[in-house]
Amino acid sequence: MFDTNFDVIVIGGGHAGAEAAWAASHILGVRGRVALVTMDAAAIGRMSCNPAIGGLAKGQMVREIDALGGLMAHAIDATGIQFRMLNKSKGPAVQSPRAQADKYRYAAAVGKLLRDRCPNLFIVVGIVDKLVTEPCNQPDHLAQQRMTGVVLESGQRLSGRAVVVTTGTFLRALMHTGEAKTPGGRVGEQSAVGLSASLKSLGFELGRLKTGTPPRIARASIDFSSLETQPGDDHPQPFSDLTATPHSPLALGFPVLPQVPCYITYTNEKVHALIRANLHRAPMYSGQIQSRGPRYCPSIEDKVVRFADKTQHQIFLEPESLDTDEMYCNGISTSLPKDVQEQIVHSIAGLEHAVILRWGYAVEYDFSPTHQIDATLETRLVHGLFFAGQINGTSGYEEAAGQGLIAGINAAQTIAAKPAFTLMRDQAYIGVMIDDLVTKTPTEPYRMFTSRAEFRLTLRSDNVDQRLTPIGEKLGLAQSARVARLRHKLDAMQRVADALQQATSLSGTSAFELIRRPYIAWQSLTSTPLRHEEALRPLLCDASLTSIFDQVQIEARYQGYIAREKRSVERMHDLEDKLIPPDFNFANITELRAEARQSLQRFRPRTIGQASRLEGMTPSDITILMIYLGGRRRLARPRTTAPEIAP
Amino acid sequence: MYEHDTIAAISSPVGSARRSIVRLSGPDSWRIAGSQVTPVKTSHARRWLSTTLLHPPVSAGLILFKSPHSFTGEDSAELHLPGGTTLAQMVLEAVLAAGARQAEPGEFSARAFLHGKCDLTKAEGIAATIGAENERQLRAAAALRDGALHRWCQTLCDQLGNMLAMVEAGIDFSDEPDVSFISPAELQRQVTAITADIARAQTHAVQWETLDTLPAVVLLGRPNVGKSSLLNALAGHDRAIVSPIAGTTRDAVSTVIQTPVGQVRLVDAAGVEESPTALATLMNEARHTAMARADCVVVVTDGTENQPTLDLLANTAAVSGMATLWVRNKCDQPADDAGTASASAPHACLHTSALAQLGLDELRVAIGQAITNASGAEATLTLNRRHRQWLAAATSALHSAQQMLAANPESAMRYPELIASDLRLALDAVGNISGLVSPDEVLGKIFSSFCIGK
Repeated sequence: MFDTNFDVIVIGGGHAGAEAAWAASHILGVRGRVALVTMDAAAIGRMSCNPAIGGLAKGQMVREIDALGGLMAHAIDATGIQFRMLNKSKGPAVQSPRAQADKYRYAAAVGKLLRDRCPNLFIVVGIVDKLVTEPCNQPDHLAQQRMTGVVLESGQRLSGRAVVVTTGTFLRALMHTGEAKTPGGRVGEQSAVGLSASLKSLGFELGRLKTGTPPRIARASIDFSSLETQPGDDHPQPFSDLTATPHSPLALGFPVLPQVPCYITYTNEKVHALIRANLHRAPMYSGQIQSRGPRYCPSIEDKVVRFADKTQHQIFLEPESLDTDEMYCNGISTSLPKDVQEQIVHSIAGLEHAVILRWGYAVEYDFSPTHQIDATLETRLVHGLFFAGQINGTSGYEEAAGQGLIAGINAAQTIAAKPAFTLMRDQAYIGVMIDDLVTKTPTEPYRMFTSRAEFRLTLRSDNVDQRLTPIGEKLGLAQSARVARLRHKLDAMQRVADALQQATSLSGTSAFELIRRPYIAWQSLTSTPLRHEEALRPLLCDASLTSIFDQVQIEARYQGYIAREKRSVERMHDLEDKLIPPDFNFANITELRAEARQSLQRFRPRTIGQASRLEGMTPSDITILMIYLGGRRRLARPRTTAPEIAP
Repeated sequence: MYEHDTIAAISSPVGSARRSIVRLSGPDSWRIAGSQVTPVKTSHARRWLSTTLLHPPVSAGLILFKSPHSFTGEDSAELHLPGGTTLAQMVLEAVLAAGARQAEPGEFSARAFLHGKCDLTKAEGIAATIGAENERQLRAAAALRDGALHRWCQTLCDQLGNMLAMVEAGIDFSDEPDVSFISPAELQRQVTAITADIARAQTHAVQWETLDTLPAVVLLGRPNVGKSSLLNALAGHDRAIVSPIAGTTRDAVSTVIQTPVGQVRLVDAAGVEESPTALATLMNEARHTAMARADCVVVVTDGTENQPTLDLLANTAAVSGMATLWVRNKCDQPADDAGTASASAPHACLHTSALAQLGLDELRVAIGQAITNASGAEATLTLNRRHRQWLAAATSALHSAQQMLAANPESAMRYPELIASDLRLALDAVGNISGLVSPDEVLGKIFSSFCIGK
């Protein structure tokens, strides 16, 4: 009944889809066939919005994807045209890499990685019209249905027991520029309508979100003379640990491409007056768009309205490619009509004569409220169906890629009949993100911030390999070169730490203690007189150990704080270990407040820990839940059921 | 799964109340309460329903509460009965026979807590009310119930949350020109201020455990002025060995006496010697210990002697802010020189006679008043051990932040993630006293105060 047989089908070739296809293909190897269905093969890895990868917290996620064996870091390292380490003046836990990409080369690199490195991956051009399921009789699954394949608009039928949906902004997509409405997920591209209906008929609840993008202008038409220049770092750092080693799939050297600057300009009172005068024509204000947009990435009309006292807002002019003239106007995302956009741009310093190459627009799209997925990203309604990226209400390439990787891994695990894989909040930003998703429905597109991670000092960029490469190895995803590098690194760190413990200052303080102090850099040890320095001296002179010394110093400085984090990690695990049976009936607990009961029934948490983080839960709700799960007969003694009631 | 049973208890003020109440809570409470009275329209929840008790046929009131609009959050009923507890006791028996279970102490408030009808501090307040043994505990419990501690914690959480939002904004949005990040000096000022706030509250707050033990009143006086006799007279039995030999009472002896505001522990400190011997030194130490714990000091003098007042001790008591009462004992006996004696007394004096049982009730009233004044003056919050532990955790986290900022404020901000870690810990600790703080609230603060996003 199917025309072509696959094991895993990935719908969508964006940043989630590419990562999912890569992960599933690598884990399955010769054991399975993976299809990536895309509307346009040339659009794989396309950057619809900002031509940049990384940023605060996002950069850590890219490094995590890399440590697990994903592809994003390889693609950006090979195509970055400006690398910057953000928060360089602050502590190492909150420093994050960010890079501007040549967006055409970036997409090409993603496509190349998928074509060259995934022999069992097939790229299918088409639009998925329908998901095909059959009743699920597996006793270990509560899902009523399970995936068997998909039907394309062309009528072609593909079989697949695991399907990853990564539709980005394309589900019932509608673009707005002023009064003009165009169906489509990106300029010049289509909208996926059939799939949305298919999800609804399977019983999925769908919501609506909105995001936006600014106009692009021609570089040659910009007057740079009055603009501030923002160069990249003098010593750019790659995202992937394999970059500039023989094991890198794309970047044997680094940086690969010439590095270029960005430019900074500002809006002004004239621009703000223009916006205020035309608010009635802005879809977000005229009522044409009802859905919520992100607070942290507001349109320029939002900024002018909400922060009326500001006389200017910053705009970054970012090159989109080395080969084209396009410049991205980061800071003036807008859906105002074209004539207003033109007046706005021409009122900005440096852009008086700018030629607009593409208009800004807002796009509305369907997403699936996240109580419908598990931390594995598998849907609860259909066994074998996974959601990743914007369909889960997130925003950002990195957030999408992180989910794509997890969904791809679990799609492959399903086919290989291996246990499902999840990451916890103390293991990775990806774990924090997914836990946030399965405990709260995004009311605006979800973006990662370092402040979302309560174990931020542990979830650093410098230790991603320690945290995740062993896991990637077990999954069969992390290349052996990574594992060997990690082993080598851990050895070196041990040697350095030992040598630092041995050596002492003339007053008897160990060198290790010395570099714990916030303002003593380890480099200063070279000029410090020390005792018992036989082991340390040669290591200090070894240039290849610089990053090892850096990391030993970071861990030494954070020691006390990390110990504190560890204690709360243990408390968290206590609750995470308390499992809630998947078929547990929360409706029976009449003692719960209606709000808590609804939240529990909606999200169906798998552990008490998850339950405690649900929206609308109070400590007393958790107490009641634990009483029920503990199977206590009676609620007789207040002192034992509510131990904190005193005296 | 526990049984959804119905509980019942008498809930009337102890003593000579004109009305007493039998309360029921649980799924059967309407049925059981209704079975005790002539039929009423049960469609009227939360309304006074006049009715008549079946046995004995006296008029009664019934109020029905529909879940979740009741104190416990369950279906509940109140039977309002005329008279004291005797009738109430009879009705309770009948209610229990009809299928209700006698509520355990604090079970009503436990159910209210479990149904989310009150937060932890309020629940503690209610539980404390039930367990209260005296006026002071009741007042402290009322403050908890009223949410005074909850409100104070909320204010602290707001302040800590705002500070944390500032620091987090500086970390997560460092390339945003619109974020005016808090200066290290300002942050240091705020951390110091909030630490001082917590410290002040801790100093002024009453420890719940001290309320649990009865207020202490210490009898002071020179040997043989009759302190022991007075103690025995007030207690109504022989607790202290009475002897005409001066200095018979060697250790602080105590007993519980009744005052209008509840029970009080009366401590008979050893007599104040003029010339300290080895034994007397020990005794004095015991007396000072007793005094350190005292809520009120009663200085006893011998009404028959024209003696100098115990200036030293009295001054100590006055300086430490302890309530002090002056008593001239043996008022049944003629004074050596009464005129001189009263002239020399610098304070209003109570006159008692332990032997003739004179002035004892007046002394009880005075002691009660002194205790009430003493505890009511400065205590704003009552903290139990759980509260104090969380506050100590918050303080230690804030100290850590303070230390970093004090060492070098500018460079400390090179590690904002450590300051944030401390502030987050402090926020969680305070939040734990009455509820939870979610990281989303911190992000919410950032988004509402700054124009963020490119």
